[in-house]
Amino acid sequence: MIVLIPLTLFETSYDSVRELLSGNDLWPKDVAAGETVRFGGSNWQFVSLKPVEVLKTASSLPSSSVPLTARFLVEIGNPDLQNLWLGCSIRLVDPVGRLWQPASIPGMPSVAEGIKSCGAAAFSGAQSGERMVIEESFLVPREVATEVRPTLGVGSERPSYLRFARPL
Amino acid sequence: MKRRFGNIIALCLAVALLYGMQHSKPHYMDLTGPIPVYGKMHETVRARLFNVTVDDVAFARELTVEGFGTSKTLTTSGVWVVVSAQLEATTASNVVAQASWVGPTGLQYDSSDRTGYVPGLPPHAIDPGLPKPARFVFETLPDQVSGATLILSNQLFPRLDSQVRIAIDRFKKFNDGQPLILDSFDIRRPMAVSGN
Repeated sequence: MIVLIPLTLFETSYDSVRELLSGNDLWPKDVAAGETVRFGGSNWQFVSLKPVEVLKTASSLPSSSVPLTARFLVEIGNPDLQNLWLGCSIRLVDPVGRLWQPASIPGMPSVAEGIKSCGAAAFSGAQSGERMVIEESFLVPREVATEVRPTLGVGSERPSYLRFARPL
Repeated sequence: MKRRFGNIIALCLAVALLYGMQHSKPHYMDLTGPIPVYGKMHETVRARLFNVTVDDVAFARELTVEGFGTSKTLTTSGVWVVVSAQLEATTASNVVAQASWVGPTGLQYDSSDRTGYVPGLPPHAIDPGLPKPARFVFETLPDQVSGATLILSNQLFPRLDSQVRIAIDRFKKFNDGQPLILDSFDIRRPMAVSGN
């Protein structure tokens, strides 16, 4: 019994625990402003988090909201992005831990050629040594627009994830 | 012989005990089912991942919707129910995907899919700190209106997670208690907001 019960508990919970750890960003690693970090086989640098200035039709946005775009510069290391970046997730977090996911914002100016979202970059076929710009857009309350900072999680690094400081 | 008899007695007791537990204890699906959060109209009901305030409920015989630039009018042999609410995420962006209308007799009607894709109807993507007007549309029977409950959750089949259950008791009705059923309701109509 002493052996069987723990073994049974381990066997029945193993898959759930593994799923919990591999599917969630649980343990943050803080990254200083401007620092480049090896993550998911590539080098990541958080460049900016800026309000989007030009909106064609901002009327449908809540008046208390601000659209923000987070920009990263990435130098591809291991080109197996489809596996290493599986479930790539860039989010914004405020000081109390609230999280915002990328949003489809009406009236956003179209992104410049070559700039990709994290998910699209994972399937872009980028090769080792290639440099690319990754952007995600968010809609956040005006009162936290200057306080939020981005986080980055990818399947191969979970449950660890990066939490970037905003450039001064 | 005595030992064998004892084993048989122990086995029978075990079977009786398990049978009794099977019939007296909650089943696994009940234990791991949704966690109900009860509320009323016009008050903020707080689930784990979202807050919701139901502002208005309207009933109509015809429903006009617009999607992809074309409008269409939907008729029904029952009655259309249009629920107007405010949704807001609590801790993280998420989606309120499941809405059901449960009548007084327990008949359950999920959100109507006859509308097709229409802005402002489920699934509703919501963010923290950004309250969002949201509508839910159901097609039900006239006798499933009074005493109904609106059920909302993030997932289609919530397990061990909040499920909001709001008693629908404040809507326009006649003196005999029967609901006022409009001839038609245009989904593009601006929503009434709590406090206005």
